[in-house]
Amino acid sequence: MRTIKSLIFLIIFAVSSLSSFANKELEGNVLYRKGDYKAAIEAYKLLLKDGQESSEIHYNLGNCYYKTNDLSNCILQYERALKLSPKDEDIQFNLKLANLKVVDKIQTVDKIFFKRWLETLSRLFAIDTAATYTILFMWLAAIILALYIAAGSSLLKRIFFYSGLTLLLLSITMLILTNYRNNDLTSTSSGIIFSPTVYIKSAPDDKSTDLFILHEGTKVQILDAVGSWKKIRLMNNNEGWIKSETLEVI
Amino acid sequence: MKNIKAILFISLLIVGNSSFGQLSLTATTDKNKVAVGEQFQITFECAGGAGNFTAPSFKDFNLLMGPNQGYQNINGRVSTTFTYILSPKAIGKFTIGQGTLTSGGKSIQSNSITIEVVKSSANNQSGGKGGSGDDQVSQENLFIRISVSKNNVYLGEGILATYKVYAKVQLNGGGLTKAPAFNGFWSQKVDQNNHPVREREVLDGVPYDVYTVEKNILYPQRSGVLELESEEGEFNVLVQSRRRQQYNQNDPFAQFFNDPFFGGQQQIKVKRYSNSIKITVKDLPEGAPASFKGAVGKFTMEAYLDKPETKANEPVSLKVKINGNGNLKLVDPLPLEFPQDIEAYDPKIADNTVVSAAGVNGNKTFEYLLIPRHSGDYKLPPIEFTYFDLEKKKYVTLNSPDFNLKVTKGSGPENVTINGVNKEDVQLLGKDIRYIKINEVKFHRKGDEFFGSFGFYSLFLSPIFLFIGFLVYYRKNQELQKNVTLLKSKKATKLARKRLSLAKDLLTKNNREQFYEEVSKATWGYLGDKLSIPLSALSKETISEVLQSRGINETLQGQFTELLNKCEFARFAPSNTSGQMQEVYDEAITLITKMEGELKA
Repeated sequence: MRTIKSLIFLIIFAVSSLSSFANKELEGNVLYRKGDYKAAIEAYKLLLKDGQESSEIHYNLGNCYYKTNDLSNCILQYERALKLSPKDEDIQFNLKLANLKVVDKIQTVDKIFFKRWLETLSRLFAIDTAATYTILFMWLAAIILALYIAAGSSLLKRIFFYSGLTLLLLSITMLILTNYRNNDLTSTSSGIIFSPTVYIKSAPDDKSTDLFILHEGTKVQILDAVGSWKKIRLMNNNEGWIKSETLEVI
Repeated sequence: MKNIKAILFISLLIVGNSSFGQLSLTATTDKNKVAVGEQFQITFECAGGAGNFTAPSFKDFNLLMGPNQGYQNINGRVSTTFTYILSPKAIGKFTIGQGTLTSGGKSIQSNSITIEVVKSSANNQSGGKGGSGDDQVSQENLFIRISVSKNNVYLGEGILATYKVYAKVQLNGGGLTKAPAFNGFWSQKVDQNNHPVREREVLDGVPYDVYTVEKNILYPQRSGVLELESEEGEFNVLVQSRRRQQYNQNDPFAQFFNDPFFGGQQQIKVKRYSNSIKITVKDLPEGAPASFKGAVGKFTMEAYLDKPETKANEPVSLKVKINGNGNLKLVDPLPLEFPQDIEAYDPKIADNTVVSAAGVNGNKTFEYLLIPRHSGDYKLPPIEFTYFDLEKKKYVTLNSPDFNLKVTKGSGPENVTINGVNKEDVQLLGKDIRYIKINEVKFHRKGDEFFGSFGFYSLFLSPIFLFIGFLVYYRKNQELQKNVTLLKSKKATKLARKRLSLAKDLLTKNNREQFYEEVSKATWGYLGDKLSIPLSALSKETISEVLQSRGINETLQGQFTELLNKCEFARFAPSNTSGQMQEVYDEAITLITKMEGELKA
């Protein structure tokens, strides 16, 4: 009962929010068109209060930051937008453009092939669509397998058996993909460097050796955290320690 | 000038003297015995008239000066003199040939002069000939002396080396023939006047005129015994020019002029060699820190940034000022390491040192121009400068504090380097970002994903549980069904017997209609229960079908059909007798028994 309630609530909320925003143009958009990017940033930020997320708003915010030359915030917003809509070409394009301004040119090391496939596949569907498919396939599989058991004739039995099994496999695949995507979305394992220049240390200690320097806008993987320090890894597999306040989690 | 005048005057006197007699040509020299390098004078005196004078060849000697023509009138005797100043080329005895004087078609020859050239030596130079002008230029009267402030020094420690000329004679110029070489030293001339100033100095109770010709601060560049070599000096010495003693020895007039007071002054060149000095240079003690680059003395260091905050791409300068006394001139720019984001240029060096007898004093400033390329907080490494302190005899390291440079964003674009941009990137460089999204803004709350919620899991797992539930129910039901049919088939024979016994009763009562009905029911019921055919589906066709599928032989099948037909027929045909009824009854019993046996097999 509760799940149905929450589902209904979700639908109503989505519909209401859609309709209320569709009617009049967003204040941020108006300000952006006027070129008042700073005010637009404030307007968009207001929409993202209380843990609200929207790929479009993050994207628009990214554009505002781009126009105000705030590179690290710009990339952070694009990355957040891309996290929500990984297939969106506009986001991909603008992020690429923003990354050109990043000082650190880091050669990325390719992921293992199946991880890449999994990533591509997991991005084919929106997460809740994928979740719905998972459930739908599971129901169909259950029904058809029940029919297989009840069926009298052997031909029908065979048809029901194979189609049921296929549906079951489909459901499990969808579950894996959805879970992968969910991890992608909820993980706090990536960050953007916010300090204009920051020394990467060999240990979580101010006195330790400086390994290298990173600049604002560089994306890093976060591996570990000790006190006010975070262990990071670059796309080229270099690792080091960095003060937590110098980077922002995507 | 004075010199020539004097010669002129003397010559005039001589010429004057000779005018009294007949024409004569006499050659004289001031020295018959000379040392190599020493100069001497040859004078040809023509008395009694004038004429064309031809000098002999001086091929064995260097002609330094001459001919100087002069006239002399001594007591009315007029003579003309031709004076040459020569120096020997080699050791040995050489003859200077005859000079010729041609006058009025007559020519006369002079005497020839033999000069003995001996090895140069101090004794010789001092001039053994008493009474000659040379005794005024003895070794004690003119010498060069090198003195140093220290004989035993550390590598890089400054020494003051002074080259002084001590003279009791009157000098008219001169000095070292060449600047000292100072092999193994780095030298710095102490500022002094171009012309050495005459000072008075008392040496061993004897007053001297002292001229400082060279004053240098020397820094030994290598350890070991270094030598300040003996230096050659050449001086113009003014000496009293005396008339030759052999002339007019008894002439009181000549004697009068022979008095030094009246005597003309003559300049001669005198060579001198200085002493040499050995200096022992000690190596610096071991264990010099890495930052030691050879500075020796006593220094202080100041280092500062001209401003603690700048904008990206705007230069700041880091000044390092080394102040003190020592081999400052040899202090090279400190090799500083700057963060890779800071472009550092070669330092501008400002040398503000004064070289004095006390050494090299002052300061040297290195100004490093730094251009931070990106904004941020930078830490510049502290500057380390090590020198060897001569007083404490140990290494002293000076450290500057850390420098913190705050770089704020510049007005221009920060990233000016386009290194490592590939072709595709270049194509993108000039482009602008795509416009904001205006439509279809979708919101959702963080953590509100359907996936992972309780709803998702319940919806996902419920079909699985339902399926399992269905499976369990289905199996149980099937089991039950199976039991019921089993029971039925077990009961079938019993039921059939019961019915048949009822039929037997009816047979004895001769109740024909009910008898056939009972037999028919018993057969149908038996077959239905035994073969698990529901009552609704019970028909002759289904029975034969099931029997066939169970593999019951066809005769038995036929017999059953026949029996059932017979019963049906007999029920509605009144012609039947009790004998026929008995027959049907027996047939039903045998058929059921047979069937029982067939099904068990």
